[in-house]
Amino acid sequence: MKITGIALKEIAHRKVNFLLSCLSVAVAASVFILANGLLESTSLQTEEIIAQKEIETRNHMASLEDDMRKHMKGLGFNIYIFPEGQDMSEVYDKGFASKTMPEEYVTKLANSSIVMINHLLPTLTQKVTWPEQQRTVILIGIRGEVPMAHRNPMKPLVDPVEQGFIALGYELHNALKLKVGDKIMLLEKEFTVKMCHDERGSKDDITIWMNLTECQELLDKKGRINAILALECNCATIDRLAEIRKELSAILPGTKIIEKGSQALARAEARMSAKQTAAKQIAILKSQRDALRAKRESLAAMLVPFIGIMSLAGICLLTFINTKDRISEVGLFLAIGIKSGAILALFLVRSFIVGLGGGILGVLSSAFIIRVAGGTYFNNYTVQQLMSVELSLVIIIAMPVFACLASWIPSFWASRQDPAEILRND
Amino acid sequence: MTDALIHIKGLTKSYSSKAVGKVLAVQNVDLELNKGDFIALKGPSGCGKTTLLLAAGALLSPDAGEVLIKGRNPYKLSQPERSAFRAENLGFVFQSFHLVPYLTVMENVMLCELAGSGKDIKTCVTELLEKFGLTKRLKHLPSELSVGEQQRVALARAICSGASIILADEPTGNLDTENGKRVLEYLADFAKNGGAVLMVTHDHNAGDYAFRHVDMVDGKIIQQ
Ligand SMILES: Nc1ncnc2c1ncn2[C@@H]1O[C@H](COP(=O)(O)OP(=O)(O)OP(=O)(O)O)[C@@H](O)[C@H]1O
Ligand SMILES: [Mg+2]
Repeated sequence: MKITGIALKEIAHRKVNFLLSCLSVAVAASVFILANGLLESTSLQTEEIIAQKEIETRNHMASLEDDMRKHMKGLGFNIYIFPEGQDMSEVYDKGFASKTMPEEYVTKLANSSIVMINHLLPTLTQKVTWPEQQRTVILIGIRGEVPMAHRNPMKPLVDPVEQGFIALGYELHNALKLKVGDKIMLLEKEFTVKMCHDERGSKDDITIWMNLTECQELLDKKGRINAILALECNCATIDRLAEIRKELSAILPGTKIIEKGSQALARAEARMSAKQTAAKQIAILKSQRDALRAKRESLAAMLVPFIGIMSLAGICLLTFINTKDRISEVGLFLAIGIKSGAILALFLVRSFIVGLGGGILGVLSSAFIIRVAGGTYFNNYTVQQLMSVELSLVIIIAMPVFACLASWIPSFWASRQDPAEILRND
Repeated sequence: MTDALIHIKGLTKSYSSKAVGKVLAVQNVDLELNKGDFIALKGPSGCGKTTLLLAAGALLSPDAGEVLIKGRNPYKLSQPERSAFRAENLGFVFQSFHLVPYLTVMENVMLCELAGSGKDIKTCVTELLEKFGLTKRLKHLPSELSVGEQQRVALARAICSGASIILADEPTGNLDTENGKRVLEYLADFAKNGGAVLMVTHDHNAGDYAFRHVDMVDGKIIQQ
């Protein structure tokens, strides 16, 4: 006769109490598993939405990039070519170069077989004080377009300024009340105003444009320029700047090249901002997921212990009823010399079996509930996705311990009964 | 001193209940149960017979006086030691048989294994059950037995542990005359074969079987 054997026979004898106890454990186990499953399904779903969103963004970005590539192929972009040895930080700071290069560079470039650049504009730019007017201006000497030797002459993009004429930025003609045709002294030389530009809100507003040769004479920089503006460049590849640099370095070694704002750049910016927007959406989604999860977690944090305690109380009560039912049995056991420890063990083994049965029942019924109600409550996830084998095992192992704890007090009470008291009342 | 199996000296036991206050159940009782003795303890209801039996059976600690079983005072032992001592020396039979309802006849009798020293009692049990005419009932549950059979199972359980003393509280109380006689026969037989029996009874037939009669009134023994 083994204690386990006796416990099993007792269970078979008092089935109702056993089944109710198992049910009590199963409810606790199921509540735990289902609460967990609910949390898991929310997480999984948001994760899926986020993954979906990320794929969408990536595809969208790819299509934008493709788009840009197509556009850029046909779209001209502009570059500045600066003299060798020019400190570029100075260029970004002041807007023009302090170093100069020979004007023949333009001719050299124009006569080369370079196919990527459509228009070439040599300029000489310098900040000077306009002594006659006591103000600082930017003086730009322009020559107009240099015809490309190997191609038919094209319509020039920028009208050159003829000798003896100047074009004025808004701030200048506005402040000095000058209009086209007026004559004005600049660096001891008389010029006729050929053009008054509208307000642009940039350095252009304090700029004077004049003929390049005249500008070189005035600034004492004969035959020199400090930038070449190359307009409507075209490239086959995306990394166009590198491609142009490669070509130019062969013709004008040492020169520095930067890109001037273009439509293509604007497109790239739009692409960037689309990417940022998508990232923002994903971040919002994630924070919504976290908030929902926190909400459900706090609900579970309340519900699980509550059901746990109810189930604990249930098992405790059912065990107490069981010990009451068996009190005469306990009296006899004690009278014939079975020790209290063995009687305690007898009850605890029963509780262990209750916990094991209840745990398995709980796992199975949870799986069943997820299967049946998966569409309504668990976002259509499968049992395998929401109930890990580990969790199920932990439940099946933990529930017997839980049941033993719950039944400890009544079991202990039973094992400490006074047999004389029980037998005398026979 | 004495080689009595149970020696009771000046035993006094009282209960205190809230309703009635203190109740003197047994007062200054002396009794000896020797090897081969079969004592019938008689008396009116409430006179303290069960109390005396439980005290003699190492189940109820007396207020005063001494109980020696085989020369040892069980109340000076620790709880687990006293349990082991009971398992080894004493067998109990009660009016309601206290059979475990979910265990078979065989299993009920074998229960003392759980308490016992671990010696093999299976052959002894089989012989005993055969003697009690229960061979065909070994796999039956108590609920499937007649009352007479049930009491014989309880008796078998009391004896099979190898105990030399049987304490019985109205063992025939629930039995018809015929079954009662059979139980009394078995008890007498047990005493004759070197055991000792202390039996509380109201049974008129007990006189034909018991070797000694003890009468109790109001917690005192009036005639031995
Ligand atoms: N737990 C208790 N508390 C108070 N009084 C008790 C308690 N148990 C028994 N008594 C009283 O002690 C006395 C002796 O009881 P006991 O059970 O020994 O009598 P008995 O002779 O066995 O009676 P019966 O023949 O009816 O079984 C009775 O008067 C009873 O009322
Ligand atoms: Mg009594």
